[in-house]
Amino acid sequence: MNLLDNLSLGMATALQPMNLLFCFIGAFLGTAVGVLPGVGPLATIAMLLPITFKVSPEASVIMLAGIYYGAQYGGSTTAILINLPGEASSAVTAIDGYQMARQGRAGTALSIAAIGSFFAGTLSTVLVAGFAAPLTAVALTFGPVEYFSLMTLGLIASITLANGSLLKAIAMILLGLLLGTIGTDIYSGSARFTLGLDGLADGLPIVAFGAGIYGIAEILLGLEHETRTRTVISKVTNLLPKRSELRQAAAPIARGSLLGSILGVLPGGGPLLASFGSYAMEKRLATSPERFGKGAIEAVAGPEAANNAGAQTSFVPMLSLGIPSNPIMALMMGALIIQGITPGPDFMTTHPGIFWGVIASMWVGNLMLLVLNLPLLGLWVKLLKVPQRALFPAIVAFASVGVYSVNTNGFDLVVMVLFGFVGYVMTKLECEPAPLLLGFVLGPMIEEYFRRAMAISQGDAMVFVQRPISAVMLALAAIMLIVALLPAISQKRAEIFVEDEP
Amino acid sequence: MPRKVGAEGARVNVLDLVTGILLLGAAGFFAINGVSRLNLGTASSMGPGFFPVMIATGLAFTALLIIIRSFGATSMIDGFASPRALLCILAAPIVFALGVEPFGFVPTMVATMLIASFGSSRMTWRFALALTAGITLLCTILFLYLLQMPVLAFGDLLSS
Repeated sequence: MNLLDNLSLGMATALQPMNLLFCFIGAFLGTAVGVLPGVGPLATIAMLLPITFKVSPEASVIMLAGIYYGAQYGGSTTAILINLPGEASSAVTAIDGYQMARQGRAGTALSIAAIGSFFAGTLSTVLVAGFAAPLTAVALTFGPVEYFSLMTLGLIASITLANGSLLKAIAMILLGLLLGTIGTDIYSGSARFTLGLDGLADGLPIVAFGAGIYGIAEILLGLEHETRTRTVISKVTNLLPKRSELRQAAAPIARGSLLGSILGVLPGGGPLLASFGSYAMEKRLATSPERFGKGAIEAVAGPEAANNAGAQTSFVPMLSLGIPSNPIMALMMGALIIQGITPGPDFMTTHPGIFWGVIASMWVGNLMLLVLNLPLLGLWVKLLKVPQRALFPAIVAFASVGVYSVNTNGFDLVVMVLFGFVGYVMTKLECEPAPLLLGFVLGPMIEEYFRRAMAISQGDAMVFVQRPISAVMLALAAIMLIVALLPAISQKRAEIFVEDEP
Repeated sequence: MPRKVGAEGARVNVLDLVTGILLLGAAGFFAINGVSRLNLGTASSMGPGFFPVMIATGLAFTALLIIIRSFGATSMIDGFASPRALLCILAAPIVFALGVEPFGFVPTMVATMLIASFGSSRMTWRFALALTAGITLLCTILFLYLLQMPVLAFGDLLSS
């Protein structure tokens, strides 16, 4: 089958009424949580996972994907109107977007952000469709040795690209791997680290774990600073950008889309890295960089295109290799696994409808977002006026019901609360939850491949460097680690992410 | 406002020191449990304990490095959530877990919402009650009727 056949199969799946409906629900919900500061797509996906078990696998992934890229759209609205990133990845949009809004150009900033996101969404849909298949073909030649090295590379890459202390990130990955071993060992059937609790026999429940470490912990963080007030710029006029403004934004949008697409595929990459990268690039390329920070349209167009592109291409490693590149992909993979589908190299041939349907739905969803976002602006502005104290009890309640309903089991809520507290303490100790979740999801797979590889080589660990592909991947991982440890680079990393704090 | 943590003049990054010690404890739990209760096997035929013990050793090593590097530096902290917020937010899901079977969905939801609401120091009774009523109604329609969650609206304890 060629690309066109595949895409038309995907379109046929994405355009089924049920899937269209879920695509819409996802994009709408995603925009809403993107708009609301303090409620992220991760917590939302974790809360909604249980609901998705009631619908078909393709509808559920289409909806979850919609939440993810919808949040990238919504985040920019908040960034522009109240100078607070609704989403971490729109932090840079806030810098110039809010300035534009203060100059009375809020409408222009919002529409440029939406147009940029749509263009990026279209381009990256094509890229995902084009690259997923060849990557799958390569992955099919991999054995357990290569898989182990690939996952190791993924984990290392995810920490070197993230912010904060490298040592702590490594520790978080190792802790995640250990938490992943909890439960029944698949080979021997013996219970590992379950403390004799029945609820842990199948391992730590991933939905409860994710909802705790992101949802509950976020709420506790939000309650630290209750007195903060915000000014909403709610007067938005001139939604259509002028011709000259469009021309000014065109090149940054194109560059941002490309950069975002590339950074999205990298393990640990995705929208956050993409938007920061694009901002830095536009500032360097600008003829008058002193306008940056004072309402430069390029500084809104580029990063907004980049974060949407990054959000979409981060599906590539998950769909074609079965390796989630960021925590959201990890949760989405969890959703598929619970539905009985394990993403990996043979996913595309065994479930072509889901595979291409999800890709096609991304474009459909982006179109919906473009149409939906600007006319519904009034609704989003109203949403911004919902006080924080109304939001957090609702989130706690939703998370409780959602997590409970996965297994109709109260024990899962205990896990959620426990990891909510752990997640909060971790954040206070400046340890990031993302590597922990990645390690947790990849843990069982890494262990399985490790055991199989070592069994094949009869206990000789040298096999990982004797096989050429595996050796290259491990060498890459080692180089990344060494480079990240160099003082000059680690200082630069700290600088890039310094604006990350909301 | 961020403020310094630890004793005045102390040259130790308290956050890193605590992180290291907690991680060392976690590594210890997995390593000791793995060695004493699980079969390690050999490198070519690994038992259930091999991988966890290997990773736990790595974690212990990393934790030690974090502890060593915490000396000679200082740390800032940005304040904590109030005990009230911690208590309310963490207790609410547990209340739901314990109450939903004996008392049913609706009363448990009301209790959960009320407890969670008062995690905020700026909550008023009026606001909390209105919010609770709204969210309870929404969740009942969504989860109980649309998604057919297998629990009763009002439990046996109340209806009999």
